[in-house]
Amino acid sequence: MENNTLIIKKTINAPIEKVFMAWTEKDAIEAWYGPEGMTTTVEVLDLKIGGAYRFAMKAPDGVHVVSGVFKEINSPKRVSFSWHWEGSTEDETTLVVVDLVPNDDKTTELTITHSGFKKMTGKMQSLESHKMGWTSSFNKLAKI
Amino acid sequence: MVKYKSDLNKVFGAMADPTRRAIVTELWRSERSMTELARPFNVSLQAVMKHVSVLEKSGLVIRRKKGRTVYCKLDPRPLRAANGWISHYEKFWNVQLDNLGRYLTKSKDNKKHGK
Repeated sequence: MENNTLIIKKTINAPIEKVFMAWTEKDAIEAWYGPEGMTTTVEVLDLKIGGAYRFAMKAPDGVHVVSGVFKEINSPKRVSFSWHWEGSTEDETTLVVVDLVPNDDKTTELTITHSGFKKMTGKMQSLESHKMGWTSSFNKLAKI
Repeated sequence: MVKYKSDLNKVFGAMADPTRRAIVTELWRSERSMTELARPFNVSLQAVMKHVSVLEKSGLVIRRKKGRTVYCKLDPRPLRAANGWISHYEKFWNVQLDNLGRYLTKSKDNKKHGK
């Protein structure tokens, strides 16, 4: 597995169409999105290739806004979108791909592939010259 | 458990910003003064102080005053808990998918009698 790609799999007890809807419809997204203790507001959701989305997750310590554009929409099998946290001086954009495969008519295998962690832009490149990718440095940190 | 989650949210918020991740990487190399921290990022001292204050609240950075200079030091323990950026996302998505699973089970239950 590539070092800078995160892959997560989970079996969801719902038919594939329902799971796809949960990722692509405003009311559904607001109902489940965001870690516990955060409430999510879908501010923009333009479900088409190149269309933008913007979700505001309100936490006790402030609002975390994630936004991006849809890269691939293949209902009900795949939805893919760019991902970045707003409000930062230099934005790092990563890519999220959600793949759905039906096990049977009641359960769905969901795979999230989150990639592009190493991509850096602008001022961040000065850090790249240190030859320390985020992953490697944080892996090292984790071992301290 | 609740405390762990709120700490994780703080680290999550702190590390969501690329400049703050860069500051953490800088501090991983060694202790730095505020002025030294501001230099490579081409941002104002005030902006760096703001970032450092967020990192301090998340427990990632410890501030120390020596004379008139403020030094920042990295405390990697919260990161170890979050186990790095990718692992942090791993936790984020796992929590997300648990929420998704719960949400879909709930909406199924609501419609159980309809079908």
